[in-house]
Amino acid sequence: MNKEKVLRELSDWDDTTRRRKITLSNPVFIKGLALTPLAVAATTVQNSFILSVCVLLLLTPTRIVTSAVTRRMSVPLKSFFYPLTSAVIFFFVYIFMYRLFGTKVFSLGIYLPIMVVDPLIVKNFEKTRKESFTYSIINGLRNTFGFILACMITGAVREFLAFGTVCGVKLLNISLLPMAKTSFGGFIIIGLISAFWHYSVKNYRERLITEARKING
Amino acid sequence: MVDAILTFFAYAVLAIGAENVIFTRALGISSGLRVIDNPNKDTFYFCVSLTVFQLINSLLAYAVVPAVAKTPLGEYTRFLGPVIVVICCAVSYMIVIAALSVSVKKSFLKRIIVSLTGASINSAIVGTIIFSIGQNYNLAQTIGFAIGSSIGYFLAMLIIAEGEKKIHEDAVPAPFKGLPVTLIYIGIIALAIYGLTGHTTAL
Repeated sequence: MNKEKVLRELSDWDDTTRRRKITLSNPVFIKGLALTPLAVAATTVQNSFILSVCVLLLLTPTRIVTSAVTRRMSVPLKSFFYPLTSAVIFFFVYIFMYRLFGTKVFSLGIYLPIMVVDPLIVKNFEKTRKESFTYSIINGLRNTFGFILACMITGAVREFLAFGTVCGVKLLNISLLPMAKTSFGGFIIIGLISAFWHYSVKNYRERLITEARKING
Repeated sequence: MVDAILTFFAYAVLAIGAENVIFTRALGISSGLRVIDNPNKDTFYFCVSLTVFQLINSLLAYAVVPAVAKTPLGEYTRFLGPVIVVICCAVSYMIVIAALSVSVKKSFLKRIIVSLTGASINSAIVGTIIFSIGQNYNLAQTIGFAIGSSIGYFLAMLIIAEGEKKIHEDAVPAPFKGLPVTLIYIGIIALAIYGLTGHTTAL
């Protein structure tokens, strides 16, 4: 591993996890955001894809608008401006998604509309630090792709376990774990994936520490 | 009248147990875990505030959504739902803050404002209201479901908070500490409730 990279990543681990939010500080598996749609609605790759498109079109635009407008707002005022902005953007996103996917978007029931108030989209109102326009785009995209990665993995695992298929392609003639399609199955599977994620992040950090020790002799 | 009262209690009881917002529908789980893990937020005030907001918002949405459906925007009601609910949340927040600012001490209001703000808008409230609207509930069903959902949310939060305290962190393997073990714990409780309902949704 590159010497500078190892020392840079280890010297400011918080900054490293912030920069590599998609993996090292995944918004779902590490931070516990957007658990509601994932636990209930992300039962297949198709559902996960619909949720991912929704977050892709909703999260970053909401962050850009709110970071530009809420600079002088108090927290209580911000706490409504954020969801209101995301709800207005969601109105157009929902219509667009209805044109794109047809009635499939309604099959997710309340789990698509409630994205407008999910902490993944609106948690920033609690921050007192002002966010620059560029940072709001970068951070918004990091959170978006972190969610998409988590959502697609969860959808694929649950579809395989519950139906024996992945992306609708039959891989098994039996369903290994029918409860994977239920909400409690969702909690348990997300918990297990989250544990694996925590283990991988810890392992990566330990590997960096070992490398740093070797470099320093 | 007796029918309405019975309906109210039936929906309230179902929403507390068999249709629990957290264990059955996973609504408000991310916000709930953030409150439990945040020492600055009081779980009790958070849940009491949530109950008040849930009731006011449900009544507002019950009145406003059919009215919007009769306007030229009616064909977009399905897509406008979240916007209407968020506006209802903002209105009810202002009503509660105005009522509290004239009836309680400023220092107390300052203490609970963080819990109030978080409780006034989250997926437990918005999800319950959108669900009620989608199911075309009447007034008794709407009120019963709103109150029952909030009490159910409160009980679920207590069970999760107590579980987090009781889980001996030393006995938990390192990768499972924190969020993973909490999610598995919630999943097991949800599984128990699913077993009680007889493997079917009650509503």
